Amino acid sequence: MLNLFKFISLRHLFLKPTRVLLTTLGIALGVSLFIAIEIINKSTLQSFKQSVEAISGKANLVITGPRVGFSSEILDKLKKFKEIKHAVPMVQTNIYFTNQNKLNENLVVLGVDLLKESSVRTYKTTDEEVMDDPLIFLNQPDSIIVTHEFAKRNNLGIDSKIEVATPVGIKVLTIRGLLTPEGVAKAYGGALAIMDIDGANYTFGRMGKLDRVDLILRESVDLESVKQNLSAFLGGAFEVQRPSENSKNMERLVHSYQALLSFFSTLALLVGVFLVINTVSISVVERRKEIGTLRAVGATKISIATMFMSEAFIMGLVGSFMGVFWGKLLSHQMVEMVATSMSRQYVTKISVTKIYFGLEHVLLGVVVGTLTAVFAALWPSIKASFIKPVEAMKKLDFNQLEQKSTLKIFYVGLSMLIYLVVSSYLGLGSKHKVLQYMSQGCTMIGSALVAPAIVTYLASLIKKTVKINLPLLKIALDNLIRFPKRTASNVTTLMVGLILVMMVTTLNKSFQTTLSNWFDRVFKADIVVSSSGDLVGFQTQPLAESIGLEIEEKVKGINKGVTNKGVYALRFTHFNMQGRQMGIKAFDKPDPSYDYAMLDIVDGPARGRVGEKLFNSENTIVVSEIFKAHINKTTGDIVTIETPTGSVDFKILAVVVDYASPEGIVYMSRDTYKKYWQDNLVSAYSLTVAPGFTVNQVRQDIDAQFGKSKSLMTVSQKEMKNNLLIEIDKSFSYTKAIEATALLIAFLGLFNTFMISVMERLRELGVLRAIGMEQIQLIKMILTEAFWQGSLGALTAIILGFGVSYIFIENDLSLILGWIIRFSFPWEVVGYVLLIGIFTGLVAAYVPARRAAQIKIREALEYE
Amino acid sequence: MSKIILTLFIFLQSIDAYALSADEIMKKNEEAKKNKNITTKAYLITGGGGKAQREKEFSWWRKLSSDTVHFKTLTRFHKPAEVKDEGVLFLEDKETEILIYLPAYKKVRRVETAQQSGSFMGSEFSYADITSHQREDYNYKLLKEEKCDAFDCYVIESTPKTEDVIEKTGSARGVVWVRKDNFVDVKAEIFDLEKKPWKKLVAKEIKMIDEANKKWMAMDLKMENLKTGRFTNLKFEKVDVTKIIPDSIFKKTSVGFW
Repeated sequence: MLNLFKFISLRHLFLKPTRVLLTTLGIALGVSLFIAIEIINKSTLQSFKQSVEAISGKANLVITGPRVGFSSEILDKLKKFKEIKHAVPMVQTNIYFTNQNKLNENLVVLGVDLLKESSVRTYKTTDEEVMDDPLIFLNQPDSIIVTHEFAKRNNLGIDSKIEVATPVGIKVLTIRGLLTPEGVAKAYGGALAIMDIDGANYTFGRMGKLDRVDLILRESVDLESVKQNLSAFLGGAFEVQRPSENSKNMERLVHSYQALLSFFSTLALLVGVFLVINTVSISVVERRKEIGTLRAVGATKISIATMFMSEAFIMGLVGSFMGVFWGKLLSHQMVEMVATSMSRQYVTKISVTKIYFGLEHVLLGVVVGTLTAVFAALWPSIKASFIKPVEAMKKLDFNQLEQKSTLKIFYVGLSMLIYLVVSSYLGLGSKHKVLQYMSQGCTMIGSALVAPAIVTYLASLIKKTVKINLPLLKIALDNLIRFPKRTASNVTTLMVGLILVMMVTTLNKSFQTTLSNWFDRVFKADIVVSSSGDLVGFQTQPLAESIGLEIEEKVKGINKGVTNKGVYALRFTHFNMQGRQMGIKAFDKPDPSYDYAMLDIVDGPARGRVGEKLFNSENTIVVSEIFKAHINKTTGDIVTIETPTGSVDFKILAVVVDYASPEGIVYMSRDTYKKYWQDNLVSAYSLTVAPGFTVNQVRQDIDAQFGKSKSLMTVSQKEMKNNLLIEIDKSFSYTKAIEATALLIAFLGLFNTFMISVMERLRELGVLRAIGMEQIQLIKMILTEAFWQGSLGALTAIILGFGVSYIFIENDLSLILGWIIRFSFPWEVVGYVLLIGIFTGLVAAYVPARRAAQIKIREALEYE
Repeated sequence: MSKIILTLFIFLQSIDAYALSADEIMKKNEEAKKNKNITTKAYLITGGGGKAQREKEFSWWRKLSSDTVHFKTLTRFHKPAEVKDEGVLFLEDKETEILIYLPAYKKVRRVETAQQSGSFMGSEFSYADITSHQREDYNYKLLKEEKCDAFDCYVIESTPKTEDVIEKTGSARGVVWVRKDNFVDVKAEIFDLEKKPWKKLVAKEIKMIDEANKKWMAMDLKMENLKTGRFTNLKFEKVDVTKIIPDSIFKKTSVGFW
């Protein structure tokens, strides 16, 4: 067996360097994307974990509560627990600093008790004190410590002043300390600042509030029992966790997102599989006589199969190593896009400063890449092993063989697609991970297997229905129909790549359309006012309630409606429920003319009735579809929410559509929210413009009166929608890399198969040249065939892409991501995909066509 | 005979003096500094290490507690303007409690034990350095006797008895030079947790501030950080030991009102 490999396999690998190189490159590209996603997934999680560890320091347990904070009186209550040695409080908030380039820089501010901090966390510096003067620092509410890197980047130093947005307007903070990126300063990729807890609370208008308490327990106490006792004592609104549990929560939260990334990267790897299948299949056909001879001289079936698989193994191994190396480079390019996208989706800052690349990635890449190549070679190798010596010596009737096998393959593929439909309809993917992977596998493999038959059918259909006058087009189309297997070989890899492009663009389009339509239905305000920051992602500093009243009083042109109220507040925050971070949207009762437009009801009574009850009855809420799916409570049910003031039973009035959180959203009136959450802050104000005024006039008035002094930002309805769509686009920016990789592999596959098929047809082409076909005509003919293959491949990709995307988005996506997205087909991409298919076909065929045309007629006729 | 007795007396006296144990020396050192009431004005001048010199002015009240072992100390800052009216209250007991009054927030904050080894108001003195060291917290060993400046001194090594003391002071070892004539310490070397040299304290202008009770006080203490090159001078002036300080000023609730 070793001899077969040594004397035959290796020789063949060296005899066909272009083919081997193209196949190896294809595997390398697939592995590179796969590994890049693995590296990014690990790096984002590790960075988050590092942030959690850096912030938790030496803490044994961490107490967190509602996102709006909780009373600092908890510290006194904790004194009764003798097991607690130190209880160190912290507040945490985001600030937005406008840098020299007029861009908003987001800093996470940790407000810590500097007189207790060293029990838990350490702040290091290289050559000077972290704080210039602790006495001054503590007594000045404007004191802030930033990292050296931040200070350097913005030309700042000790005693420099920075302007930041706070709930009570713009505040000037003074840098009184600098941190080197060690210990706590490593959290959030160094994008953080430290203030004294009182300074932070004073500056951000949160006196008496805490966001977390880190606990150091006395030695030899039972951590688990303390944790349980504390949980029972503090109630459900609080979470008592080991620091490592916090990382695990995040792991769970982003798991779905990472699963989607992995799904696409695996599909890209699958495109490479078809490349290998093609290469090995064609190699088997080319070497039939050699197989027959080997079998005749005693080679076993297993040794024949092993011979082909070992060739795939070599290509897989070399390609995998290349892929791992490229994957590392690719991860550097993509990581920022992915981290930004994740941060927006989970409203949690995720910064990746270090790429975690280790031996496990090398091993994973090599194992996955090599196994994929060997797996891809398995079927053609088995088929090779079953070739009988006598059959091998006979001339092969391709046509007969091809018709049979194409049909068989079609049925296998069809069965897979039927399974996919049934599985999605029954929601099997959610029942077990293996079933989910099976569905995903069926998507690509099933599509690829039915593709040849569809291509042949489409070609026949075109021939029958469209009158083609150009002889070249006609001959090329006939060739495609006569040799379905060859056509399939050429088209499959391209088509699989294009299906992936279709899926990614359909996903993006569906998100855009679903959110855009929802926005149009629920958003009726002309202007939204918030503090500077990212309003779409609700990453803004909350505002004081009084600001809304001031705007209402001082700004001209606000429509005050029948209630004489013109400015409506919205509070968006989070609370914990069954281990999930649910969102809350608390609204002021809208003007009757709004007709409760924000309630996009999918289950429940009429909007008006729900709205009246929501704003006039106590303890009533409306929940989002995904909340219903996660918590299993619907219209009419009672749900218990742990509020900062205790457990409260709320009646669900209706289920609505909302996309602010993939975990679930609860709507309530702001009066109810204020009562139970004890929080008067506002995330954004909305208003409509009175007749006789324009949106611009009112915005200018707000900007002039409050823009600078309160750091307020106004956004029109149109801008808000545009921003939303831009954000979605940004969230999908990383998919461009997936598309590009898939198309590149598809191109390599097509190029490879064109090279092979041209050589395969050399004799036929020689005959054509001998009977008078000119070189240029030959090139044109092959390019025309490529045109047909490209366009038919693209057309098949569009048809199959439509189907699998529909099934994926309507059924599987909500399981993976938690968003309920409606399928929307990107019609505008149809032309693009067709063009890409044709272009890729023509480019991939050009070199083989030229080579075929240049071969001498005599040599071509002698070619066997 | 009388000569013999006199010689014997002197000899016994010298044996007694020479035979003082480290503990006894430190007890005398403690006694020499144990003033019942001290009211003074103080200055913290910090400089060195290539950074600008800073000066803070404050009032200082220290009173011996009724247990005659521990002290209560209150400081109230006057200058610079950024720290005006900030106050620090040290309530020594088995566990020393340190409270800071921050006038910007009109709030009293507690300094955790672990933080007590940290800088006292940006100086090279730690909170623990400002409080009186409790003799029973340490093991003492007489290393040698030697001249320190113009005086004969005992050189005594101190090692904390418990981890709590190490945590509070941030030091695992200390060496102190105690004058033989008045048992006042004139120099000290402080070692960090790894027993590497950390800080050096030099006491100057040692004055008898209470002649009746033979109590002494250094008017100028210089603490030098051997790692950073920075130093702080803690200077006292207008020391008054006659004024009886009312206990009420050391109440936790009144730290902000004096």
